[in-house]
Amino acid sequence: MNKHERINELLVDFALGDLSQQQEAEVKTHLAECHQCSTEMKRLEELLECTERIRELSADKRMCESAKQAILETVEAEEMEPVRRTHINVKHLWSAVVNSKMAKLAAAAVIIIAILIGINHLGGSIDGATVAFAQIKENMEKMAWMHVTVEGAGEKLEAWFSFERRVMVSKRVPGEIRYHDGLKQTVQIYDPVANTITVSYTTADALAGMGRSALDFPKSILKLFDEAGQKIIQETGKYEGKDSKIYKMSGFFGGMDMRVEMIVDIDKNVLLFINQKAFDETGTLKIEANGYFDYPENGPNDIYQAGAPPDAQVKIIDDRDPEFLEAIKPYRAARENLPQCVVVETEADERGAIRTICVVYNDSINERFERIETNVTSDSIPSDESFQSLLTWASDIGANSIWAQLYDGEYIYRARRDYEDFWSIKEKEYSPKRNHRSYNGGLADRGWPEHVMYKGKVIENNYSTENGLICIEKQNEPLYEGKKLRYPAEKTLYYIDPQRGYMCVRKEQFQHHLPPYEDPVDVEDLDFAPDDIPAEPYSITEVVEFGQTDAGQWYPKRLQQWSRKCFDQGYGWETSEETKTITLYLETNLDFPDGIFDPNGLVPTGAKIRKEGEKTSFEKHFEQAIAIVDSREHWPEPRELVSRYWQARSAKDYDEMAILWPGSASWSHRHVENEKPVEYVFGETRKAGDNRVIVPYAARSYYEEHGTYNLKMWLHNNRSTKGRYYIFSGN
Amino acid sequence: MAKKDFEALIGDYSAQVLNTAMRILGDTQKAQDVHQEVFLEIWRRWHRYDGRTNWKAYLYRTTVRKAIRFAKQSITKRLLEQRPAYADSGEKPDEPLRTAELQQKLAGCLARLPKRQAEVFVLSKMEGLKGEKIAELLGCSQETVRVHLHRAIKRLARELSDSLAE
Repeated sequence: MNKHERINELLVDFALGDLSQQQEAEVKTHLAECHQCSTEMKRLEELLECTERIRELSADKRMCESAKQAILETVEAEEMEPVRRTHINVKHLWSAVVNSKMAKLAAAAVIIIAILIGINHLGGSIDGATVAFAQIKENMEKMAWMHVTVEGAGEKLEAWFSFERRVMVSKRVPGEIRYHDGLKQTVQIYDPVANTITVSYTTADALAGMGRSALDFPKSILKLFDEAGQKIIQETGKYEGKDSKIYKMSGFFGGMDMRVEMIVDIDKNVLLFINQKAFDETGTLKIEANGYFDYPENGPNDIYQAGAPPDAQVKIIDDRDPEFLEAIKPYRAARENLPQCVVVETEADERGAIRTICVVYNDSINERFERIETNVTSDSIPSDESFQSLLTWASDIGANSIWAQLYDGEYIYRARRDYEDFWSIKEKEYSPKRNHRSYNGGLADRGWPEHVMYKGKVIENNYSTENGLICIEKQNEPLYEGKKLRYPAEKTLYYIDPQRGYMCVRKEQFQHHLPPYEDPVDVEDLDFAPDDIPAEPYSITEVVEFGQTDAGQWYPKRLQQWSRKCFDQGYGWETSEETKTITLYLETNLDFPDGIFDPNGLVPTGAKIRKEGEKTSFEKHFEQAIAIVDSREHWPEPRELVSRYWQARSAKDYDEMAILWPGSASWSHRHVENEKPVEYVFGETRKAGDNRVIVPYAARSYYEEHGTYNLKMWLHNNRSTKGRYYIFSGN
Repeated sequence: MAKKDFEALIGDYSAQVLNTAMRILGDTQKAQDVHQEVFLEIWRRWHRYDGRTNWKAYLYRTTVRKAIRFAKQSITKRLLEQRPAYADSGEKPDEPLRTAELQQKLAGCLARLPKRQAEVFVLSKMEGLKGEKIAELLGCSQETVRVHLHRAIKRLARELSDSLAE
């Protein structure tokens, strides 16, 4: 920092009169000789002078009286007319229903139809208040298929969802049918009047937006009643002869007396039935709607199985850029013809620490993928350049955990070994295309990433023209949850090198950062528009060394990945940059071990397997701790709690630590044993989302030197039935 | 809580809310609108408050947020109606702008600041509160307040001067 920059930093303090005499003199001298700073100083003075004048303004007595009067009159008027009182709370949902052109329909039918046909009226956030329904939603999502029928006021609507297959189907009876296929990235719409089926291409994942909103629907209703101060009654009873939980609620919304009943299957904990009734002020039933939910093994595989007649005329609208489709053809061909090979891939940080190693076996159909999480240094890699010794090195590494995955061209099989050496096996997942990979690594990701083939456009920029590359731009729309933003818009540029087998040699990603760890954000709180794409990338991955197989196939031998991350240091956002080096060791002339692609061999023989529903020791410790959190008579506020945690840690009081930080019992002994006690100071608690708070803290010595907190603890109250905060993360 | 508690709340804080809104918006009518909205919203949720609310802090935050939102809306409205009031003469007025006009310019600039920065700036420079008090009201550290205030002042000074030059 030169002198000018240093003084410039002091100008605000100077204007506020916060500097020492010596600093003040220094600033004055600089101002006399620096035009830029003296202009800025003048502006600062103008601003502060303006605010000084503003500060003197105050409301006179008459104004106060008339304002008070006005509010009391309004309150009185609202008391006479109770209906209006709740109206404001629910304007997003119920006014949409009641004022809707479709108001002749039953309320529930309208809402569900609205969601399914894509008019997302559901506003407002959904908080953790309805934990029970969050679990119900999760269970519904895991079902192979969910089938919903909604009936009311002479209308009927049917819908099918499969989160596994990424399919969402909606059907008015009689009327339009829509078939969203997330894997094929198509939307088919059957129009019964014209007897046509229109097929169009889309990159939007209907299930990510609309499908999840539909699943959030019961929770939104609960929240709505809860916010309006209405009671929700939970009972048990029978539904179709089976024991069920029944949730009942009623209240005035939009001038109607609304009553809602939801029935939940006790065993499977999924929604079975919703009934909604609306009465007018005279008590007459105006509208009634029923929603029936069932969970079949199979659902419609295409629009015809959903009810479209086979003789309907099919129109295909491919609005994808023809230049893009042309450019992607050789890329697609190259991707489909990747060599049969084994790849060992290491990811090292700037200091040469390797945290992950991937081992990938590929033939023309199958892929076996292992991601080993470890902590070794680059110099432990065997230097004799024999691939076999590299494979042995990777398998003997002493992994903290392993993620294993097998893909046979149709199904994905997954398993994981956790840090307690237990394996857990996931259900196989149907995935007819290779675009459902969950782990990064291997040629299909590093040189020929899947995403390039999705809808995009060919552009030209300096980098592509100077290097003779094809640049493909792909954009993602912002993703909302209700009215809140989950992700801002994102742009990715892929540079393809026609000279090197159409390999993707560079990838640039652009997206604004959102506050880390926060729940979806209010758009108003952002200092950028949700669809804005920043000019600078936050991540660049580039091939820096190329390799060629014996058969002449190019591959990326070494890649460099630079990224900038934003994190909250307790006193504002800081950015940090990191560079990783990814190295691929590739061997095409290796006989694959027998059964390498056999799903039964995904988990080694004799391994300890965690049974379904069996809790990890973390989960057990966590539950025990939460029970104590809730049973104690007094519970400290977050700041006090964090301070007590560190006292306990200094005293090696593992029992108390495990309660203040539930789940920490599973690791604290090992990590804390040799730790020397440090004296910490703690800052003010602040909110970091709906159910989260942060307590900033620092070692006393650090704080005394810098005047800031460099560490923080995250707390939430998600699992406590009493809303008590406890630690869940920290640094 | 009972209605008389609500009336007492209005009695205690009406002036605070009106003053803050007026200082931000520079318009008595708009300040009264903000006042109305702030208290009406509280009344409509009155049954949910349990007597532990820190009203002073809550009302500062809500008023600042609402007033800035009003300022945003009136900028949009002005843009739709095209030009500012004095632009008809085709020239900038020679005499210093009246406080009200300055305030409106400043409100426009405030509306473009990140929410936290705007809050801190208003509470510090317009309400004259000390850093310690603001930290308590906003539930953050004094250092955070200081950083936000610095950034806000730096940016506002630049934007206000640009806006006056327009």
